[in-house]
Amino acid sequence: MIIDSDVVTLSRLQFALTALYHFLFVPLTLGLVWMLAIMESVYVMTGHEVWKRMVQFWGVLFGINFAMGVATGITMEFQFGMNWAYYAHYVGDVFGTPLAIEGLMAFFLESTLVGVFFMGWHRLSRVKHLLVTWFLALGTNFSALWILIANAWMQHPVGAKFNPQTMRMEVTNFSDVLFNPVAQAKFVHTVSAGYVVGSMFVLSISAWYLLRGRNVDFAKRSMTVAASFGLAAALSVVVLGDESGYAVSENQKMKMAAIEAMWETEPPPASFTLFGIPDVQNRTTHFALHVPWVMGVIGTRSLDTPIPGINNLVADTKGKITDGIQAYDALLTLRKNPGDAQAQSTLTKYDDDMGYALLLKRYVDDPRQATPDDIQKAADSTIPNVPVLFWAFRIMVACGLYFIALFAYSFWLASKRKLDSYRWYLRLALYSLPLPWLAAELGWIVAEYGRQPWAIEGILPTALGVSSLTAGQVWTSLGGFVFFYTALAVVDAVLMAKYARKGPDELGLWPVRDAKAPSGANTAGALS
Amino acid sequence: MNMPDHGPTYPSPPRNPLRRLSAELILIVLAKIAFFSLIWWFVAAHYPRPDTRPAAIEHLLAPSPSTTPEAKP
Repeated sequence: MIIDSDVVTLSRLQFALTALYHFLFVPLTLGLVWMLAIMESVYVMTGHEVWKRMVQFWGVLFGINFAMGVATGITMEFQFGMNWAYYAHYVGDVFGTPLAIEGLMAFFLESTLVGVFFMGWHRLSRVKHLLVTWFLALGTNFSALWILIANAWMQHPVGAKFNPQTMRMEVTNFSDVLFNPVAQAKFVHTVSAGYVVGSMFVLSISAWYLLRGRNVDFAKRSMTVAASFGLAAALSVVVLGDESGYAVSENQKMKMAAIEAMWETEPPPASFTLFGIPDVQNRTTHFALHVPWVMGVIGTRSLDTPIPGINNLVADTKGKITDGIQAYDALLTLRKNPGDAQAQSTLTKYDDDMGYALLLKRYVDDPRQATPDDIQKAADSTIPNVPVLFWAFRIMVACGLYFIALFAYSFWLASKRKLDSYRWYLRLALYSLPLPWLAAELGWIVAEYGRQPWAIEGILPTALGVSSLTAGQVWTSLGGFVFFYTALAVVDAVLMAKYARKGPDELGLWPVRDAKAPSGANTAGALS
Repeated sequence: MNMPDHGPTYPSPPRNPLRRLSAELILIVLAKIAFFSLIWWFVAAHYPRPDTRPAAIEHLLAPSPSTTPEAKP
């Protein structure tokens, strides 16, 4: 079976589009929910009505984001069956568990708590409602944890083994899957990126109110929360991103080398390429501007451990492919004769590399018949798209450093009570609104595009995981998604802009007409 | 800002200003579920459930029957 690359490419494109679209909503939910929890905590502690109104107003925008985002993630789960059926079969026993828990948490826990959050203002005491908000924040983040455990297993498959009898991967140690170091690093990095998105959202919209001279007191308080939370989040995202980078350099050396456009292994500690133009054809980086030692220290946390270059990794891969062919041969022997002890012994010895033999399936029907040229092609195919990774990573990091500067300055202005003093600052805060989304999407491009050609790193090539579909079928579903998601994006932008423009004043949430009015007097039935 | 004390000065907010938004969001969620179901129905629903027994899918990893298994690189 030679793989139909059209179906593979289209299925990858469809998954990438739906995933990137879904992740427009996720980080805002992850971040904004903590802002709501902080604001409501201040309300419960101080009893000042303005804090409650802040929760209710930002809660409206949170509700729009949640409703627009809900169900856009489930399409990815369905795609595992529709477009990646062999992938689902091959690793479903491992991958399916965290995915199912994530589904349960997202749909039952998170959605129920969202409902109670919006409808509970009159039905629950202050403290009970606050508890709901905190549980909502925790539930939302735990939901993200499970999907990131599933994703991390694709990057660093641990706690599972291939079973030649069932022809698929099976869990050997669920605790290894759960406490996968890549999952931990990915989780904290991803959620803190979401906190930056939530903080920037509140900061930018509040800055717009101050530019218009509307809801001034409301906006300043919101900006103060956003600046404080945003500064902590922006610092965390960079520090925890470093942890994530360390995990990559430990477990996905080719991805790390591609991010750095490091073609040859440098003497340790390796330098960091601040700027350069990667030339894939000639395997070199033009106009490279190196910062000595930085990459070696960040990537290995030592001064004497080398970071292997792309060419060296390709040479290593050729050896793994050769070993993998032996495992593949042993597997086929075992399928015919399950009692063959020699084949069992060979498979046990080389099964970690069997996935590398499967890379050959793009070039030759039977990997055992591969020529040196086929092996070279398969080894070369393990190099991801270097220019895309190189630039996506650098733009993401530049954004991260910018967020630290912006939130630090915002925090300083808030502490000096000068948030509305400089119009240039307010404009800067407003125009920075899309940047955290850009950084988050680029982060996913680095993570997922950098994993190619693997669906499961070192185990299952992406091209092999695809369903037996025709290109026409994938075009139909892809067209449907593009059309519908574009329409949804327009509706989302219109709704968000409409209710952000209305602001707490036009929505009747602020100013409070009568300070002694019962809590929630102006918002009876809001979203209920 | 000091205001003279002659009653509330703010205009009354519209009654249940967010009720329309709630209805719109519910409709959007329902539309999403309907449209996703439609895509699934068009692309996948009429296909028979695949046979995923090991014996039925092992050809996905194994070479086609016509190739010679003895040949080695």
